[in-house]
Amino acid sequence: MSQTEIELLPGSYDNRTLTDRLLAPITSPPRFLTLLMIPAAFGTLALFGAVAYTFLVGIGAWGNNIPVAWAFAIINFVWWIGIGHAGTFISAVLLLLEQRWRTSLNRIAEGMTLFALVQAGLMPLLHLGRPWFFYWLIPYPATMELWPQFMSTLTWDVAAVTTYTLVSILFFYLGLIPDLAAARDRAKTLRRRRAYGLFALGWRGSARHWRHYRTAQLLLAGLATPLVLSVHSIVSMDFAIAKLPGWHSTIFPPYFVAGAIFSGFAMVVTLVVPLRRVYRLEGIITVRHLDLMAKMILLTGLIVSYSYVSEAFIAWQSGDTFERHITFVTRPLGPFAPVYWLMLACNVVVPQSLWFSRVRKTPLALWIVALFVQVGMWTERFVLIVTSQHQDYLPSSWENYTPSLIDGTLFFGTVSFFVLLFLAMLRFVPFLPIAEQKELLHASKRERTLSPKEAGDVRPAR
Amino acid sequence: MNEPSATNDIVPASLLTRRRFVEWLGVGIAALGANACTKPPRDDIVPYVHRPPEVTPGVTLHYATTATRDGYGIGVLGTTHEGRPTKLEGHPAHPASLGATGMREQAALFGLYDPDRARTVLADGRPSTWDAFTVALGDSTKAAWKQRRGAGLALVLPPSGSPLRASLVTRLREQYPDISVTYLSTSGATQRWAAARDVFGEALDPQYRLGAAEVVVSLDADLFGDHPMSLAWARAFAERRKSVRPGGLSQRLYAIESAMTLTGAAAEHRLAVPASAVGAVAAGLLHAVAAATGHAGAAPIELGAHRVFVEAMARDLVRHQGRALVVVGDRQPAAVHALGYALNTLLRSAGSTLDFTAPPLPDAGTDAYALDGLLRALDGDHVETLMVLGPNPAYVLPADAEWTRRAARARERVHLSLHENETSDGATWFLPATHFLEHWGDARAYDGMTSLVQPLVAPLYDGKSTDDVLAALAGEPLQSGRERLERQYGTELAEGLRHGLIAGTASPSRTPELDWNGVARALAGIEPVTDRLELDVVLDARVGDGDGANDPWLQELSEPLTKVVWGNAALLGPRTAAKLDIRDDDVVIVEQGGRRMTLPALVDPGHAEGAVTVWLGHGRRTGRVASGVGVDAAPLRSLAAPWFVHDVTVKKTGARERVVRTQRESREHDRHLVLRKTVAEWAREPSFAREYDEDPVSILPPRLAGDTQWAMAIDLSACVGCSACMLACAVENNVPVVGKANVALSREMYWLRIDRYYAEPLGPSESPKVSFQPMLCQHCEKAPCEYVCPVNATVHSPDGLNEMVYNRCVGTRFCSNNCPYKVRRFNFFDYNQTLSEPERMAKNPDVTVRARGVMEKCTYCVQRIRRAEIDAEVAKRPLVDGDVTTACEQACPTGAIVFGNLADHGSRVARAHADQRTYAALGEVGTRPRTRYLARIDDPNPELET
Repeated sequence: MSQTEIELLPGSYDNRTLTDRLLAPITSPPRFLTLLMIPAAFGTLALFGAVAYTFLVGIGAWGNNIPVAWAFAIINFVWWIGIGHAGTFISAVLLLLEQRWRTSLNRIAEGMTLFALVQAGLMPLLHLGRPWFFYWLIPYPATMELWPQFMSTLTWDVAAVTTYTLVSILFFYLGLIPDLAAARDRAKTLRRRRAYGLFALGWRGSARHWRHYRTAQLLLAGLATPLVLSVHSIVSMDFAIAKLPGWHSTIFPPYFVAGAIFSGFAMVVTLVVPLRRVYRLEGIITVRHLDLMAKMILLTGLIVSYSYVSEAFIAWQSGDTFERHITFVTRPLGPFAPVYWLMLACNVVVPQSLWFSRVRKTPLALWIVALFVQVGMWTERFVLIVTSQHQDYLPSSWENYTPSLIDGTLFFGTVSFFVLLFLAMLRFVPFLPIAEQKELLHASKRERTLSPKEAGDVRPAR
Repeated sequence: MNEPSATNDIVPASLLTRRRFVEWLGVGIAALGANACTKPPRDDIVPYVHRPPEVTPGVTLHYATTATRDGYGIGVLGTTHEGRPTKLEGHPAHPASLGATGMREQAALFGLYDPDRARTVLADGRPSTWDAFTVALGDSTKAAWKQRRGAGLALVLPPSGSPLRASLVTRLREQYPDISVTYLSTSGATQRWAAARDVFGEALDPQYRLGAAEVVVSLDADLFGDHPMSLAWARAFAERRKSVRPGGLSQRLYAIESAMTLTGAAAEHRLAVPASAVGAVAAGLLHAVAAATGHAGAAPIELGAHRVFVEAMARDLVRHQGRALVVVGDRQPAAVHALGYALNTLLRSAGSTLDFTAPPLPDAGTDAYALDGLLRALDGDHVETLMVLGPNPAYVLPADAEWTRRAARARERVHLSLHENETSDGATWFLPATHFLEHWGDARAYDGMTSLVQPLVAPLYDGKSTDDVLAALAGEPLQSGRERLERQYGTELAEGLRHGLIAGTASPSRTPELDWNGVARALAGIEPVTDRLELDVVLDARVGDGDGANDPWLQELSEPLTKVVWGNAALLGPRTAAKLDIRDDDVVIVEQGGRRMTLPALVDPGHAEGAVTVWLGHGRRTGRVASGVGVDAAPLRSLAAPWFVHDVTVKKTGARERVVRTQRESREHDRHLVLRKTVAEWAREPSFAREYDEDPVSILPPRLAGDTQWAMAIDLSACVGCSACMLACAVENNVPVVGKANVALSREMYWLRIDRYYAEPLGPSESPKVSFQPMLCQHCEKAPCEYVCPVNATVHSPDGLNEMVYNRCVGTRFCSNNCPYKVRRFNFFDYNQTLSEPERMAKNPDVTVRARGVMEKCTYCVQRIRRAEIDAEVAKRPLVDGDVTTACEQACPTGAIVFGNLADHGSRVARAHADQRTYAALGEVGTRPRTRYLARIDDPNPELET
């Protein structure tokens, strides 16, 4: 145990040096950050351009058609929202499970969740034929006494995603308050002090503050934990309640949740590996962290692989012509077969390398695996959404799907926007949780002075 | 090459140029704020002060009038809303319609509102007036013509059976005896007249009685296509098919043809041979039938692989002597028609399955229908004034007619037409014509029945009819068309207008004597079969000879067999294509003697080997819709060989161009969508259809109950796939046209489509079996679309309709994903925004015009249901079966579609649903569709079954 803690925070810091170290990225931001933000900003502009164009002319700007009425927007939505899940998982579930290794990662992961949700939330709105009536999906007391149709999972979806977004914002912001206060206290200019002070909501670090803070955090963690399961379960029901072969399946909720955490952890690794290198954070985000995340990727990857097998088995065992056609003909052999095989390679084959501790503990190797998983999970949603629709019941309506330029712009635009928001976080917000790191520091110091037996009982003060 | 031309895109790809985009961005931002305070339009809305007695706003009026096909009349009833024609339906009492319409009749409405219609008189290309034209045509001109007995005056007219037209032409001929009158017919009607002259001594029109025939052989005849009598034939055919019982014989149809047609698809047995080889098959058939009926036959003809088929067919025909019929297609040469007449004589068809009448078209079978006289006269500078009143010879004639060059030799060239088109180029006078819905006139049907043409609307533009111009030429006093009709019909007119037709005017039938010497001459003239590649040219099923090409409805209607939209392609048989290493969408050059055309290829599974087929009517050079769509076949056609061009070469260019089709997958994949059984199989397994009528367990609420439960039944035995229903639906329900580029993206909007599937051929020498399945919203009792809509935009009505609430739809498209039949259509763009003012007038005011981003689909014509309910309520009577007809049902020539109240056990639809043949498409999915299909029953010849 104590060995683990030391591995998680190997540098020799005291309170002051640790705060300085953790605030350094925003007090003296590296020059390259601005340089990186420029292309991301351009990509974001392209995204807004594509959004405006879609609003102006209609969904026809995309490659969607009948039968493939859902395509990139929904793929992106599911992909981004899945990515968000790892953030919540790290910050809430691991908090409840008292996994201390999460502390150096949780701010990054929560930020990632929030920014992924921004991208995800854009999509269903944009995807509507008449987006200016989006509020009809929300239950509000309309004068016509017309309510949403609650049998539709899309209304559940609106509720789930809205809740998730709110909780994620609160969770992210709440965790940030003590650190914003630290940033305020260390600010070198008045302007900065005022800005951080405003957002720190008058945090003084009194015992009462801490007590309330801890309670609120626990409560939110309690709220967020079921969301990790429920949000993606509901998203999966958007497909599972449909009659469409390839969608009509009861294993979707667990399969989607596992897939979400799978891609989310991959995204955390994708972000963290370069980050720790650039900011020289190897002492804070350690190899041990990477190893643990790699194990999560491996585990959830195995669940995803199991789901693939189970899906195929059920399709075969059901004897359903339509289901079999989707599973055994059009996915592996049809026009989108390359995407299907790419998905299997990325999601099933590549993660197997994580059985090897060398791969788990080599940041570059792990980073490459994570990239494969990201691609794999995007292609999985493509396979699920597009191939199921393009050859359904009546062969007469079978048709291929080709994304348009706008589709591509929207996808890469959201990636840019995500990167932009993430870089902005790195620039303006303490992205390593100072308070929690300090807590960890104290805990591990105490362990070093106490006997191993006593140390086992020590928990950070709650 | 893949770039769709900007002109044929209804939704412009270049809707947003960079400049427009920036403009709109600014405007859009400004508009966001301003949106809240939009004012209603400033136009004053004024009610009638003195309401015209016959017009009640909101109540439609119907007038009987007549459309024409190739000069023969088809009676129609026009619907007007406040004086605006919005729909044409068939005239139930008219023998060529029987209440049905074809796609051309449905599309005629667009012809009226075509924004490209000519609006003003042009003199040498400059705007002028009718008065100026009348002055130019003044007394001195006429006197000069009279002096020369009309020599140098040449008229080119469309074929017409109009008695009024005939009397005008007669009066013209009296005044100018040497006037040249030429009728320009683009069908092959002249061939059947020539053959009749040869073997019967006079030009005659055969009247086929399909209802009486038990075995029918079609020699390259498309019975259900664009023949003037197709609608009636389809009805007769379907009546027999619908009455079939297990084990019983209904009717057996054999088709011998090149490219697959509706007739070939309906046939039990189909032999695919190049069109020029049909003559050899006919000769072989004649030989076999002659031998079997004990007549001294002709010398046997080498039939090769087709011998088994032809002989079996011959035996079948002979077994059904007196109840058999051989039909020859119009484009076949006269010799083949002569063989057809001989076959029918041997089979004793005359009087039972076949009658003859004198053609109702004046001058039929005379030189007035031949072009060479006129062309020679033009060459010899004998034509001073050339008046083309209606037709478009510069486009429709083969290249070697060199119309444009020859016509230019006439000093005065007058062209009367609905459009300024290829022929109008260089005309000294261009005159805008009236549409048939704008003028008075009359017509005769294929069987001779006279019907009247009455306008539904005053001319929209400054047009005059062909009759007006002819009357002016004859120097007759200025009269309205109605006055002229009164002169023609006198007191009969009022009664005629009420009924739309003049009773008792059908031509008397004749039984002419066959001259066997003529048959012998014909036999000698039959072309031997060659193995060299030939080009077959056929009129396009939708746009005809090109006069429908500017109609976007027709362009976007899928060709019934290949499902091609917007243009044509080189159709090849699978083996020929493989031999030439050609695949779908390969651009090929079809070449003969240095003349060539370049177009994309399409492999047609039912196509004859050794031939390539191209549809006429495309590659127009004028018209915003028509120009640039498809390729004109004229360069390879010649006056001598307008339909079959021998010895062509087909070469790949290496380029690719997508042939846009609305259906790409042609196999059923063992999904039992179209159930087909033979009468024998049906007898063995009478309740085969029940197996597909499952009711799986469901958590959705149980099916509805009530006094009125709407439902539909579609008899696949009767459906011939003609696609008239598709257009009828589109016109009735304001279905927008989306343009080629959008159809290529699979975004077509037609609410009703006809799925076409190919199955393995029956016998070794036969072509694949074809099945049609009209597919529209099935109005499922347990509709999968309803429970996934988040905003209640698609809901179930108490009377069993799956309703679509356009105003509530936000466009999630989940309903479409969840629809197993994929019958929901989405407005990907604002398709109605680009409509011009006249096009908007074609909209049916009873049906909402859908906005962008909204899902739409078949409503079972809910507006007609509600109107019928209101009418019944006003009349204080209950709704009875037949009060509501959907647009598709009304247009359907075969009566395959039946709509009505399922809760009324005596209704036609309730009886159809209870039929042994009835099943639900995708019944196993558990949707409980309200639209049921009746399985197709074939009666194949056991000799040809393997």
